Amino acid sequence: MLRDFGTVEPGSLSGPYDLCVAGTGPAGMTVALKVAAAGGRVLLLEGGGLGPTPESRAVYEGRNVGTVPYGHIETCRLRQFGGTSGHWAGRCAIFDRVDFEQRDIFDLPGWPISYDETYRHLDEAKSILDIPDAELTLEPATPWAEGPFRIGAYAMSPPTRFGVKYKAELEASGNIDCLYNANVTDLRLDENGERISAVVITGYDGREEIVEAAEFVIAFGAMENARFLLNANTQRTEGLGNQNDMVGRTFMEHFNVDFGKVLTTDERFWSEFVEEDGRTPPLMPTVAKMQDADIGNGIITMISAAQQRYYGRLAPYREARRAIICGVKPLRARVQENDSSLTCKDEYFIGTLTEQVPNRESRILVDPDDRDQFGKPKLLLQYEVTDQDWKTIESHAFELGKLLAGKDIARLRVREGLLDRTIGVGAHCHHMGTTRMSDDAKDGVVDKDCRVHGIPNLYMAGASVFPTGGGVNPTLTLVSLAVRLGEHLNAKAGRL
Amino acid sequence: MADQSLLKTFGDQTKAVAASVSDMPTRRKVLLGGTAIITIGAIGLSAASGESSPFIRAAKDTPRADIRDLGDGFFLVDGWVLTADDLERAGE
Repeated sequence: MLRDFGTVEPGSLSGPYDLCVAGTGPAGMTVALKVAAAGGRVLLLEGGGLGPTPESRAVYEGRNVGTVPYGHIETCRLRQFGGTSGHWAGRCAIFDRVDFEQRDIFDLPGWPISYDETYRHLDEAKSILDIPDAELTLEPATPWAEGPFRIGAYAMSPPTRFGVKYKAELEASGNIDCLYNANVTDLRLDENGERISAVVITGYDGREEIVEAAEFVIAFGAMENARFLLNANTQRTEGLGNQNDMVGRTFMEHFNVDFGKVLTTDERFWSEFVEEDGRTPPLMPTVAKMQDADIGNGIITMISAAQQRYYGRLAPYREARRAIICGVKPLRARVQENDSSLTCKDEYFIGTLTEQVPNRESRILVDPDDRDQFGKPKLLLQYEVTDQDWKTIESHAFELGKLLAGKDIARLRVREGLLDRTIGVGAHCHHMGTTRMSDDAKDGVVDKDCRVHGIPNLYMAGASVFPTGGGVNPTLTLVSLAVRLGEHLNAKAGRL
Repeated sequence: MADQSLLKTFGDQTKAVAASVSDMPTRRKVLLGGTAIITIGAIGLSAASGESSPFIRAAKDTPRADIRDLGDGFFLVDGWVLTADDLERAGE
């Protein structure tokens, strides 16, 4: 059943439920559907409406107090039915096996579960994301796959909008009670202070309902998962799961650095190395390169400047100027020396997705001086980048430059801001790591089963549990883990 | 080969610009014409210098002390990642 919390008769929610899931994005909805399909009775809660609303968006307000700019706290995330799947691009890929190994570049332990365990439910996750037949193994045999790079493999989901795909199923479901405009504002511990006993739901009119359940899953996205645990401090002053001061730490993104411009010098670049859409395939560093150079993972794609279009009143002038200048080599050389914004159609932009190492100082905090409409401190991001991260970005750039020059098909000009580290590191809206998975409670927030250390019936879902971020888009991995969590909860309750 | 591609690109772009010019208002035509005249003049001045690729020019103009060795026979020259052959060509 799918209902607006504002229309629910006070006191009519009849707990205890087998499971309460907070958040209707890809992770939360996947867990809820998995448990309901096995016969579990689920309360699924969404703070936003069926579509975007100003009062819901306001809950996601926050600011960055770190040393590295980050302008995507509010724009990346959607607080509505279906969560951020409402505007994701749909790119799906799986992590490398090497991402699951302990690497020297990490100051913290890596994944406590294996690649095979993480992707035990990959086929189910692919079906959920509507890419059932996608082949996602790395391809070795292409002209690019020599020296320091491999070709990454990915598939494009339609993209799956969870709020659209599953709305009818939720409306018809007898096992899932799904409420929107139902803000989860707190969790209550039992009288022993050991287990979660109930969830506090607050409407936009201030009305509160307290509903009991046996198990609880928080799936708000990595930023909000941390803010929620830190703000759930009515019975534990440090917040839930934060006894080791790890909640919110190791916030990770994927860097998106346009680190230079590629000038093609040989027609082989187009005929042999570029795909039909004017892009190169995604290049990923080899495992040997990562290990030898102590660098992180990532993807580099080159995108033809021929796709660039000018807009506005001066567009015809700019097009003409580009055509004339770019057509005459000596002039072009002189102009481009002084005007880096002039791109000719035989040039390529660089698109990157680069791994950020887990760093305790890059973190989510809360702001006691600025509260949302429910009286909860708003989000503070302290975004930080390490020398290791810059080393990875720089190494990826130089290795690409070497590859192009070595094949004599193009030359890369690295941006000055990369060399002096003044260039922006960009973002992909891939928020990860704030309730990281660890064997030892001092190194993370959840255990191998995504259960919060020290609280036997509280679980976290989504990319917040990633101990490291790898070098690919996270959605397929987080959905795989959500299926796994659903299976765990079913097994725990004897529903299998 | 690269030159032919550039010429083809140049030709295509010129046709596209020519096609769009007929729809432009007079002020834009004047602006475009002025730009073309200035540009052609600049071409005349610079062509005499016989410049080659921008990275070769950068290699020519960069003092040896400012060239960074990236290893494996590659060098960073004014932001360009170049080969030893490129540096040799620049020195000729």
